[in-house]
Amino acid sequence: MKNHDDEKPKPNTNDWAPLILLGQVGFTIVFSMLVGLGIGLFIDHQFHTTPIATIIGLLLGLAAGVYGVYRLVSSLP
Amino acid sequence: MLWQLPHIGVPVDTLFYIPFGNPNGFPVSNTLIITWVTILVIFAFFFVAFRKPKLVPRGIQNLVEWTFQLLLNLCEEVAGKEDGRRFFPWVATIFMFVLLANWWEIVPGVESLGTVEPGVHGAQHLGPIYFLFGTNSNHLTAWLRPPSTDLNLTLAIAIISVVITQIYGFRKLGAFQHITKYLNYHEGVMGILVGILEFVLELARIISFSFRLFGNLFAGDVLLLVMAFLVPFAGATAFYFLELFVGFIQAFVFAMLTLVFMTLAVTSHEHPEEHDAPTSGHAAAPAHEPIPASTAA
Repeated sequence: MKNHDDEKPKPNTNDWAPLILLGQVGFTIVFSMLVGLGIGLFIDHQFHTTPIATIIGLLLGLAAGVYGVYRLVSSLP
Repeated sequence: MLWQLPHIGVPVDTLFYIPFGNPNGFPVSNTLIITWVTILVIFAFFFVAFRKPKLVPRGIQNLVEWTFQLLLNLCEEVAGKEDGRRFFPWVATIFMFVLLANWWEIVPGVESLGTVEPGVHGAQHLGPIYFLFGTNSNHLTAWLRPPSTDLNLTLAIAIISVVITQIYGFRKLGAFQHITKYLNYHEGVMGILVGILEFVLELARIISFSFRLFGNLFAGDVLLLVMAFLVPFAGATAFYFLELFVGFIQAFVFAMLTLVFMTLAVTSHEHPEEHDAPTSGHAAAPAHEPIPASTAA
């Protein structure tokens, strides 16, 4: 099995990994912000502190998105 | 009017209730039925393939072994020999299940066969079986709907993927080191903040996994319906090939992202030199560099 594989240059399936990870970049930013916003709205709803936790949550989500993109891109070869 | 565009809605239709569980019964939706069918199809496929296994595989057995080999090679290349074999069952199961679940949308009869309930939306009763045809076809309640167009299923697979990733992180790094990813008090305020960000990222990953699959497949489903309505027969055929492709790509993306995030989870954040490179010959991937550059032939 191994010998057969070595003889012909097969398409390296690993080339797909960077493409798929880069596709994840946009999703990471958007959904991190949505999760942060959701957490902020939930806290505001529970403790009646209306704008504060929402703003902090949104900023936290944005930071998480940027950090997540940094993590994704730095894991690329 | 040949037919009318069916009512398109994100919530699935509950077909009947099984007297089980809660007092109202267990609701069975049109996506749930086809999910069970998908599982049975996978079982039947593997049963037929390996009923009489031969040393030199032919036919279905050959196809299954080829798929198996391809996925195993992929896992070993991305995660290394040892971890790749450990992750392989999850990645392969997710890939095959999502692939078949996606491809239901191009099967004839799915979403075009159903009933028109009497009195629903003012429609008259048209008998128990009703095909997507005629003036009342926009009130059709389909018996079968592709499972990936149900957010419940995609969310379930996403949760499974993320939870299993966490479990592998715990097992490989140990509970203490894994938790310090999220509760990092060594590096002061910055460490704590990064820990919170990691936690938000995990939640965002569940949502992004589920909404990506759901969004792509629901959009494809609506596209097929609208095209069948706008340009019947000839015009719609091209989009069936498109959806065949989209279904494959989305299944591959889901499995691949699961694999990559599992690889990242078992990689130590602080001491990358702890883990040795895999001993395999062709997949020389150091553990701290989970996605190695393509090995040029």
